[in-house]
Amino acid sequence: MNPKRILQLIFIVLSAIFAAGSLVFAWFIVTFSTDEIIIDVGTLELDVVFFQANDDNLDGTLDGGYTEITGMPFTEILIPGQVYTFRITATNTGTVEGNLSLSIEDILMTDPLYESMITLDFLDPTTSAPVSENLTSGPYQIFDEYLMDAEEMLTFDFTLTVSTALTSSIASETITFSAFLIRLDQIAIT
Amino acid sequence: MRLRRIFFILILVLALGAVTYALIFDQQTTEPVILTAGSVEFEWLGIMTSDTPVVPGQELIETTFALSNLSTIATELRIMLSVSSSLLGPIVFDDIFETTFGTGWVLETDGYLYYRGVIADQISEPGKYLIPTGSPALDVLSSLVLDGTVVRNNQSGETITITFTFEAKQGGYVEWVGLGSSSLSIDL
Repeated sequence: MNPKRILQLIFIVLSAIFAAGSLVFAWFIVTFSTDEIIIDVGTLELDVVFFQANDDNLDGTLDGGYTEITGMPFTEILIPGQVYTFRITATNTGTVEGNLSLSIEDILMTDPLYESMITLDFLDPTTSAPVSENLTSGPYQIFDEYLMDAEEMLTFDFTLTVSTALTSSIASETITFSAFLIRLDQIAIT
Repeated sequence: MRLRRIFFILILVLALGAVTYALIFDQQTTEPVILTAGSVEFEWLGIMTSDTPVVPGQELIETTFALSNLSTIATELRIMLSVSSSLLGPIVFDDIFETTFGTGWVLETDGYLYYRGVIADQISEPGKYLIPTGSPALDVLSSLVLDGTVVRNNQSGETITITFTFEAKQGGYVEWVGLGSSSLSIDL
């Protein structure tokens, strides 16, 4: 082989090795020059328990104590004038504060005459003002944007009162509260 | 090269932020609450004599009058017994008939026949007895006889109408509500 050709080959090989080495070196340079990025993500976790107040004759005067409603739908036969007292406890078991909201997902009435027959009463936890609403069909927002600290527990009491004007015209008809939805949202960053 | 790195880090932070925002909430739902309006429903059973005309001392009831309970809620029950004569107009029930009521019924001074169940002796306060759902039929009236000392020959040809008016009350915080009425007539 031509010695000149051999020298050319040696030069090419050496050039390739140096080039590869430079790339690796450059990679390590980049790697070590970038600072570590650590992001701590807070958590929002909600623990909810649903109770009915003990009230044997459902006259709104409580007998004392609460019974947890769990596992099965809460079903009752209504009579005029009854007062059902419920309690929801919500605890933020996460690590950051959040906005708590409570709503009824959907109210379903098999007879529209129910629209003036059930009244929801509660103390709004965001304003501490009493609220009394005749319930109608569809979703219903009870309250929202209650600022809840980490590990805080909110005890929310409310009543459903059956109008004394309830008549046999809607006997056997049903009003269903599909579920009470309790949601804790991260506070928006402004 | 430096701009490209800054851009890369920015994209990474934004992506992480988006993921974090999407995840950071929690929600729970309660069990459904289903409320059904109760119904108060009684079926009035019993057969009156088909004899005509009738005479004092004759038993007017062939089959005991009773109320079959078809209600879905517990309720108090009372009956107003009223009598009218085609000749004399309204008559006080007790003045013309001798009766045997079923167990648990008490005729109060307000003219109503209250079902008092097991507390039939406590007549100072009307009502206050809730008839539970699924209870057996309540015998109301098993004997009805015209009082021969009151009803005389001069009343022959008269028609006497007895009206039973039923009222129910489901709790202490509602009023008595009419359920319906039933009338029977006998010819003297």
